[in-house]
This record gives sequence, C-alpha cells and structure tokens, in this order.
Amino acid sequence: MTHISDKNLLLPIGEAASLLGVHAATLRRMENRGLIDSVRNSTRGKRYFFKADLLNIKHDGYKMAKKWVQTGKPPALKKFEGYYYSDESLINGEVTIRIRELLSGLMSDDHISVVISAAIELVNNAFYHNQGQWPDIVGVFYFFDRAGQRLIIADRGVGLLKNLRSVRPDISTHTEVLRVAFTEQISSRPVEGHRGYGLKHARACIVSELKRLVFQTGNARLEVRAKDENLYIDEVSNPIQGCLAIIEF
Amino acid sequence: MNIELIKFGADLHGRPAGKDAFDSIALRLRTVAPEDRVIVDFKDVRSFSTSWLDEMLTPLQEIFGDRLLLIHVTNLSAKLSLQTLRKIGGKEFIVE
Repeated sequence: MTHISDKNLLLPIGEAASLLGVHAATLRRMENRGLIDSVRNSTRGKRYFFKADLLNIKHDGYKMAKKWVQTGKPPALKKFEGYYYSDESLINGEVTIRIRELLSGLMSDDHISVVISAAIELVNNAFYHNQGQWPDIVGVFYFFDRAGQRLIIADRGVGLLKNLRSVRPDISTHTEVLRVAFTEQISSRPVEGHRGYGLKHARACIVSELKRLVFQTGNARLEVRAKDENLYIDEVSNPIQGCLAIIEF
Repeated sequence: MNIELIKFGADLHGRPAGKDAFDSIALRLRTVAPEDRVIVDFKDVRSFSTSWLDEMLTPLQEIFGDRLLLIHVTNLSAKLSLQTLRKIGGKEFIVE
C-alpha cells in the first residue's frame, strides 16, 4: 500500500475535504457517486484521498473521463462530441500535430516530443489491445488541456487484467497487473512478435521529463511522479471499465 | 546503407506503422554487402515512440548486429524510447 504519510500523494478525509472546500460528508457523497476514489489503510481503516485526484476533480475533462469509464451502461456519445475518437487514425493526428501547435513556444521541442510520445503510446495501447474485443464503445475519449497542462485518455476496453491474463493466467488482481504492466516486458499479442513496451515507456517519460501519470484500470490506481522511480499502486473504492490515464506535463 | 528516418515521416509512432516501414526497406537490405554498415539517421524527426522504433530497429539489429549504427540521436523522445528498449528489452544499439 502507498505510503500514507506522503502528503503529496494521500490526504486523510478531513484534509482532503478542506482542500476542496467542502464538508467531509460531501466528499463521501462524491465518492459514492463515483466522482473520486479513496483508499483505506486496512479493511475498516481510515479513508484517504489522492491529492492529484482532488486537484483534478473540478476539471471538466476529469469529470467527463470518469463518466466515460463508469461501469455498467455506456455513456451517451452525444455528450462527448469533440472528445470521442472511434478510429486510431483520427486521433493520431490530433495528438501529434495539434499538441505541437498548442504547445509550441510554451515549452521546448524536446519536452513537446516527450508529451506526444507518452500520449501516443497510451492511445495506441488502447486500440491495439482491444482490437476486435471492445465490450461496447469502440475507441477512446481524449481531452487536452493546454492551460492546465494535462491530457486525459480513457477507453471502455476490456482492461489490463483481462488482456494480460491471456498470457499470464497467474495474475489475479488489478493491482498486480498494474505492477507487471509497468515493469515487465509483456503483451497480450505476443504471437505477432509484439514486445509490449508502451506502459514502460510512458513511465520513463514521466520520470525523466514530465510531471505525473495517474493510470487506473479495474479497481486499481497507479501513480508515477517526476524524478521518482517508485510506482504508487493502490486498490481504490470505485472500479472502472477499461483504462483511464491522466498525464500532467 | 543509409536509412533516413525522416523519409518515413516527421513523427514516428505506432507498431503497425513501424512494421510497415521496415517491410518497405526489406528488399534494399539484401543489397548490403557483408562488410558494410547500416546507418540509421534520426535527424529532423520530431517525435518517436518505442513501438515504432522497436519494429524498425529490432529486426535490423537481428540481421546486422554490430554493423548497425544510429546517428543524430538528439531528440529526447528518441533517447527515452531507446532507453526503454535497453532497460526492458535488453536491446543495446550502437549510437554515435
């Protein structure tokens, strides 16, 4: 379990509510509605909230992304017009050319190249590993926030656990699959010679150059931070369908 | 033999695109003499991802080994991609 004492990572409910400017009861209700996740340090222990999520919760893109990956009935597509990409070719241009247009002059070309590289790997991962087995909506949700220096990629795919259990049936939990996917060379399509580097590369981009990656699948959440080789992986209160990634750059 | 990556595009991403890029030069590779080097030039490409580079460079290394040389590797996304290939996949490329 993630270090509870790291206040840059986790806050107890009182401090979390204070950061948001709400009562603790309101924060609990928000959690029950799936707007934010918590983690407990034991079965009936104290509840803690992730600081990165608290800072994101009022963000439009974050709210939309959480709705996108809700379990059960898929969301209505018309509410996501402009942010939904059914085809990989449509989003690749958006990620490479538009990110460069929007960030040119704000940061170095090298920094921009790494933002693009990390984002594209996550997008490609979503399409590649869900090919032919999308449970409902085919494609990804993509939100780019220039001023807030973050981008969000979400899919309603089968999720990492189901994908990687096809090649590693010994993996049984979402937290474990996150650890494996971000550290080991692994792919759900090894027969074609696919060598599975995408998530490792995204991690390297964050650690070396960018600010933070939050990645969720099932009931597990992972956080990677700049200049920090640790993976902060926790089981959280609200499971999602597919995968959700937030890159802060 | 020189392979200029900019001739495949300014942004090189995606496993299928990388595989297609390698397939497109496969015939030319047969003309490389046993003593010749294969030089892959990274100049002017603006962003890379590990997947694309893996599809292009891994088979080149399998065929040419130490005769494969990468040059003008200054782009940070290229460096990070090669670092991932090295750390996770154990692939060491000769970089000038």
